[in-house]
Amino acid sequence: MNHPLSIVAVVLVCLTTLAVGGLGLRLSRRTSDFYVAGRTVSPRLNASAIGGEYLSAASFLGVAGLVYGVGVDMLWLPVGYTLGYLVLLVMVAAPMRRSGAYTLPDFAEARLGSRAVRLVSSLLVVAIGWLYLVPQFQGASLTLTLVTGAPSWVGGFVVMVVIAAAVGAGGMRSITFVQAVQYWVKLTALAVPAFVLLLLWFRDGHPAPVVPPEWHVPLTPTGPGDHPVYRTASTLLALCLGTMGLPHVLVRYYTNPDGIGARRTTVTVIALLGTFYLLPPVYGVLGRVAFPVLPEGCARTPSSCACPTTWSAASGATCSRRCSPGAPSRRSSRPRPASRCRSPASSTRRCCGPGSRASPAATPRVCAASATPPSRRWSSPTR
Amino acid sequence: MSTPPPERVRVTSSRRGAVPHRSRPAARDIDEQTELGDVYLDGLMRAQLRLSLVILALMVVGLAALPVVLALVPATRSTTVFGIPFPWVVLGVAVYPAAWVLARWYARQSERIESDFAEVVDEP
Repeated sequence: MNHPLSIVAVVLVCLTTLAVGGLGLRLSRRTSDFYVAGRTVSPRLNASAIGGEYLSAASFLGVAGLVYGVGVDMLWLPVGYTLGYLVLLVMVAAPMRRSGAYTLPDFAEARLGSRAVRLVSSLLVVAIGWLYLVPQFQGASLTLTLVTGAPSWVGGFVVMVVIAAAVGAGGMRSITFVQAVQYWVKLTALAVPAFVLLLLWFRDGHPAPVVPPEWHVPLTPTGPGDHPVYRTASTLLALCLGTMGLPHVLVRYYTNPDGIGARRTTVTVIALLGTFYLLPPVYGVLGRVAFPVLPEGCARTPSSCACPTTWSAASGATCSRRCSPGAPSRRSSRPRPASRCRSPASSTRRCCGPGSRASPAATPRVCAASATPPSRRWSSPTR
Repeated sequence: MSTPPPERVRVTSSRRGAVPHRSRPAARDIDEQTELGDVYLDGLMRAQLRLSLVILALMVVGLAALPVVLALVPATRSTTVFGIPFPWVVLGVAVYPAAWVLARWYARQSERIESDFAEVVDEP
């Protein structure tokens, strides 16, 4: 890892966040400015802000990893994330804005006329916010530790200070600008490497990924007692209805000037999410091309995987050479935990047998099984 | 002898106090929550609900179409479009523009319903 460059990048993002937050500071004067940005946010700006808020690491790292491991069936998840906004659009977007509420409990009380509902709604909002906050801090700590080697408390602390400063000083107006910028930063950070990888892939003759056939077919059972159609339908239903219950997303709708603005915001959100979700499968598939199999244990600790980082070296070569016991670990920054990672020799024998690359159709079953990360379960990452 | 007829007197009704006739704007019925106003509002809400249900139905049908097509025409499982297997094209790419088109259509239609309603209601 290049520590100075990583630190520069992190500092740059933090300073951008604070600077953009400062942009809202000058305009933030009244109570309504603080809580709902004066209800003057244009649909495009608001849509970018919702996109920035909605797309977390789970949306690209999680989806890419699941696609790598399980295949096309995992694409139902981003489809559900996006279609949730279609349901939100036709059911609640405009009425919610027109209710004139400031918060989700406000809306619940106005609609149902009950203080008890308001209380329950408040508790749920806090609980959902908590469930989002803790993984964000954990993710920030892990990321900063990984790219700079900082102690684990630093990441969470930096995020807390930067966001608390932006929100406390500028309120909703600041955070709208911050989140809108974040969407475009995230999209760029994901799109540029994806296009470079795609170019390299085409240059190398676009080899197809070496995968078992069920990787390409949706709704394949993952086990004997699995009902793929039922499982997929219930997941989609949960995602579609769940989007309407995300307080940090819904609160953004109060910042639009009117109901028509809220609807137009949602239409743009769907376009932005659709653009974004084109990218994670690219990483999943190209990952499968570059690393046909991960030796067992590498699914949990990718940094200790002893495989080449490009597939060009492997054109025509067998997989066993790529995962050969003698190949040095190019990425290892940490010692490999012996308990997690099988010895390279045994992983070569199990999943990198000769011929697994030469004849895709004859890929041994054991290879497919061991290539699957432990997240084979249908687990929905938090967005 | 005939008595002269009484002087003719013009009899008029003063309408100064009367309110000149004007049609009631529907907006007033709605504001006052009269039965007529409720009828107007019910019409608007039913039109919006119908539109929403149509969109949701289209969404469900679109989603269900993929498993049905894959089951009925097994060849589609291995068909490739521009070198990409058909299920990947549908789930990874095509579904997003389709969702956007549906959303845009909904937004436009509901805005039209609202402007039609406003025209009826604001008519003097």
